[in-house]
Amino acid sequence: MSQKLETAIWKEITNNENEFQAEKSFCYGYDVYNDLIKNANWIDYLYLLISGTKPTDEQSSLLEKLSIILANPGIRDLSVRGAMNAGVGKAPTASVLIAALSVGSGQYSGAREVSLSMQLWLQNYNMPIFDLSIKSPEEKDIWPEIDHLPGFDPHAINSSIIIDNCLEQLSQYQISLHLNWLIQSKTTLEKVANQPLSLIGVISAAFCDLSLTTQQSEFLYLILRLPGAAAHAMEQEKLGWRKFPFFADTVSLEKQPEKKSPPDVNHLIEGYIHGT
Amino acid sequence: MALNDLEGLHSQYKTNAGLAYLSECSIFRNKDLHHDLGELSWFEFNLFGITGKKYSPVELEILNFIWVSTSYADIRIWPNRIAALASSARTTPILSMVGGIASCDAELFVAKPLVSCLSMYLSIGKKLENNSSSLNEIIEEKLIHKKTIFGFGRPITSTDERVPHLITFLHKRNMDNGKYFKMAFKIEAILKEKKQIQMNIAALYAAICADFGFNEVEMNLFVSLLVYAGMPPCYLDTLEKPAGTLLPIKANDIKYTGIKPRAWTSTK
Repeated sequence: MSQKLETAIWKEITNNENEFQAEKSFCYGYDVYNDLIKNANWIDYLYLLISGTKPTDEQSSLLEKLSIILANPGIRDLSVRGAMNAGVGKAPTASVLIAALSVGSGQYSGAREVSLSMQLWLQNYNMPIFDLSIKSPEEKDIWPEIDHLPGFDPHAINSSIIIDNCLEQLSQYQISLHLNWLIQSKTTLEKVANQPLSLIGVISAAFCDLSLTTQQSEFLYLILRLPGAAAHAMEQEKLGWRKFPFFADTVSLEKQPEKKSPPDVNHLIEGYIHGT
Repeated sequence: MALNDLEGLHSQYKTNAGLAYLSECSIFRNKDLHHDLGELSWFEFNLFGITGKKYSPVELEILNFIWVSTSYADIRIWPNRIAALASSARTTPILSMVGGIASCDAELFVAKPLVSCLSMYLSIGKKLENNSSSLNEIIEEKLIHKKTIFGFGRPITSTDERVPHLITFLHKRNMDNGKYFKMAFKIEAILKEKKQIQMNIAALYAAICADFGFNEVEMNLFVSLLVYAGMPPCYLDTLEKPAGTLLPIKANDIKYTGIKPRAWTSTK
């Protein structure tokens, strides 16, 4: 291996006998298995890994609260439903989480919406007039057209009380600048958008206040929602496929098909059984 | 309005994709799967699922060649390496393939360059039809504003070996005359002169798909398995090696550029 693998994150020290076996591992300079394991908590280490810096006490507390909001998106959430579909068929655990990640990656209720919504808050924060337009790239790419305003709920008339509860809980810190701006601007923003604020909008403001980039926030959003996906998938696996809705009475074709029967092969089967 | 959409779809959800009438038949894009489509090759059937169209034998040969000629069985290539690493970690074949395929949504290979290149051709085609600008002016404008020209950018000293193979394949079938196919070479001529850069294979794949009438989503779906066939050999080859031994890395192979050791409690 002539080309070295470069990193500013991870350093390993080995003994002279085996260069493939680490005796000490450092993450951003911190000894993981001697120091962090004793003195750090999970949220702080998570923030360190994603951002490269140790969080302040306020950042740590805000991220912990946010993690609770994110941990289970709920049984009706699209990503959890994806996970349950994999789980009910008894797919491996990784398949369940991949299903949740795929469904939870998009521009509606997914990580991509977090990124787009953060961009909206960052461009409108403390501005006298709100501009909720989003620039599309000149050439289309892998993402579908944006068909709803990120951070707002296109399927509701008024925002849920959950939105206000979460805003209140998350906005209690000195760093909660975007969150408090969102509280103050909520009515005006909803009027401009002609839609109520969604939970993604609140979550995006919290990520702004955590001083994270849109990419760092997308990663955290995806990671932190997986526990709920796992829990619901395991439950549906236990309950079994017979109890899992197949929507048999809901789905139908736009255009009624001409149904053709399968060929009659009974005489062939008789031949297989009784023939030589 | 919006809420009513959900209420309506909650009781009745109409689809054009298809429907399985278990024990009876299965409808696929308004066709009876077994009666009407069962004789198709899987490749042709997949294309029908994506575009709803049937392609001529020569078009199918060309689209098939696009898949075949890009599936390299080299464990060093990123999607293949993911499949091989998954194999080395002894996970299932499907999880290994999914990991590799998921990486094909990349900005540097497969999805983004191909879809954006096709989108660029369609947009240039419209501008040329409207006589609003010449091809030279359009490319010049992109260069002035330092915009990415997807499908182009390979140094002139480094030829993409797939390009001459594809040109030969098309020429033999008298199919090297599409509007976008020719446009790709005209763009390359401009870029060679101005920037000493040439096309990579994405420029031609996107041009062919544009000539065959694909839109961006159809192109994206078509190329989702573009490099897939290179992965199974990488998975199988790695499975024959001891677990955890794919391209082993020593601690000394890592160039650490970060902060010196420090204590957690003494830092803020």
